[in-house]
Amino acid sequence: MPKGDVLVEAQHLRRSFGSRTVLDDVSLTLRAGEVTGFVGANGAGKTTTIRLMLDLARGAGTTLFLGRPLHAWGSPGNVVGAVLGGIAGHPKHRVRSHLRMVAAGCGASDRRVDDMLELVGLTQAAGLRLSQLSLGMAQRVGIAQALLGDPPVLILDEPANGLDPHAIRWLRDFLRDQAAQGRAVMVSSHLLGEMEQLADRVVVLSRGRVVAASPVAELLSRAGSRSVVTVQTPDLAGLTRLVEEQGGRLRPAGGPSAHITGLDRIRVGALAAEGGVVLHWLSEDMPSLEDFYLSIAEEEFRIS
Amino acid sequence: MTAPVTHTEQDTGAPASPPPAPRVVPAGEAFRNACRYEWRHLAALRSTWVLLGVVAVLSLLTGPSLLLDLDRTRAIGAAQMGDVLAWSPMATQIPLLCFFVLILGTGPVSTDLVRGAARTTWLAVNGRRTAYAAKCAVGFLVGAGVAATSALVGAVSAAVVLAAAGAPQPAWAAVLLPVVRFVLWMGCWALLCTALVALLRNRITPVVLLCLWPVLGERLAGLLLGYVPGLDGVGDWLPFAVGRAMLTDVSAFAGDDKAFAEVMVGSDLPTLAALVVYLLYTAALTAAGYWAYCRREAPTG
Repeated sequence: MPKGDVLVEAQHLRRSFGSRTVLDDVSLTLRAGEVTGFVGANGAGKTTTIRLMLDLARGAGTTLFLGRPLHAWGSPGNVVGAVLGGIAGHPKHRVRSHLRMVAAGCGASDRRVDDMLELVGLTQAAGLRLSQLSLGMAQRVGIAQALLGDPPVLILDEPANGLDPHAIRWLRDFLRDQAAQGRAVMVSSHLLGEMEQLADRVVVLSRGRVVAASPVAELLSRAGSRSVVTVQTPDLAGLTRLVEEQGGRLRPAGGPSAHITGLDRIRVGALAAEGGVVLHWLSEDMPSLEDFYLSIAEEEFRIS
Repeated sequence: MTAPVTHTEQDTGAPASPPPAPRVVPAGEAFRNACRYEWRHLAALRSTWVLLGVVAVLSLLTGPSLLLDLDRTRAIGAAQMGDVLAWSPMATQIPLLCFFVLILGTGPVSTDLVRGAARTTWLAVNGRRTAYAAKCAVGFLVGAGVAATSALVGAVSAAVVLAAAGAPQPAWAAVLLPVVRFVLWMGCWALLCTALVALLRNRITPVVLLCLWPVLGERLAGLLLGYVPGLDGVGDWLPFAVGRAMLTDVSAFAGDDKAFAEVMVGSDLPTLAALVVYLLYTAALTAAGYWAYCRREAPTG
């Protein structure tokens, strides 16, 4: 599948519990060769969205996988691989037996099971019962399970939960690799910082609504517009006047220090030089994607 | 500020080839895959094989149990022999029921809905409908197969013991029909268990219900219904009374045996009518289970 092709199209997903709407008109697309980060605070509706997309829960809206509803394909495991909180199976089943069972369901061979166990580095753990797996091992078995049907779409719900930094790094590289092979990968997380290093695109969910959806670079650029310039000057009044004339905002931070928003440090430096204001300190803090996301979420909270 | 996105391709051992475009899998193939999934679910559990082993060993006791009350001068009637294979080895009934109620009947659905494996099942096979149909098909076939094998082992054991004791053999060809009804009954048991777990989304309640209702609950209900004007015949039509009537051809017994059989069966319906009614009960409950299972959401966690 050529990179950029839309493989998954979720439209107008909605879910309510009585009068409480937990998901409101959520639409998103996943493209071949891209990792899409799906970000939101705990309780924002990420898992609910994924469950609706996969028809594991009831709600309104449609999701098409390569142009068809998931079950119109006849074998969902060949279309989408999902990792939803590790592994779900009979606790007495052994890892290899469990995976062979799933392989039978999606028409994959037993050989594929061994290949996938090797891929996720769990060949040695194939004889363990599911109840004996650590959280990290369960996540890896979940990934092996998701790949059994060799699907073009991978959806992972908070896959980094419970993983140590080494495993997170492995997961990040692994998912980038999967996208590089042409898969559409969707990863949900409540940590936007993770996405800066992993995702091509980010969809931000807040209180059941999509509040931002764009390439990571674009989102970072938008986040950049919210930078904070820190200055120290003996003439705060003069600098305040210059900044406000240019549409910026200066907040005193104690003594000769102040924080300026709405202008970047180059503009502030130039203004000070033109206006004859002496600066003893000039620096700019770019907010991380995390801070940006938190500010969006905060705004959403205030609006609602 | 975090470093900008740099997507280096590191060696994670992933196969380099791109995923193939999926193909639409026909409904028949999807159903077969789902059946293989269900069979592997059962086969991967040690308890399945342990209980099957117990069933096989106890089935062998059918023959020796005949010696307790053996008339060496007369051949055992076909209906009585069918009854022996289906009912008499009570020791066999217990593991059989354990197998049917716990492993075959309640296990597959409760793993999905109670233990939370529904998301695995529904994404591996083609959703709820295919999954439920496969559970029923595999449950029925395995249940019927185990019952048939158990009956066969029991029959061989009985034939050997009768031969060794110098007693005449029954008309084995005529035993076939009662055994077929027994096999059907056991297949239906698996369906009833599956449906009940889907309806109640609980494992313990159906097990208790299925163990106590046929023995106590239904007889009590039949008795009480007998006191309600106009409902005195309803007891004959209750599900397990009908099931017992389907299994045991009371008309083939005579004398005291007949009176005893009538009391044990608890229904006056003829065998064929009972068979039809029992199958209808099973179909209705299976359909209700299907409806309930398809409405469920995959448990989270």
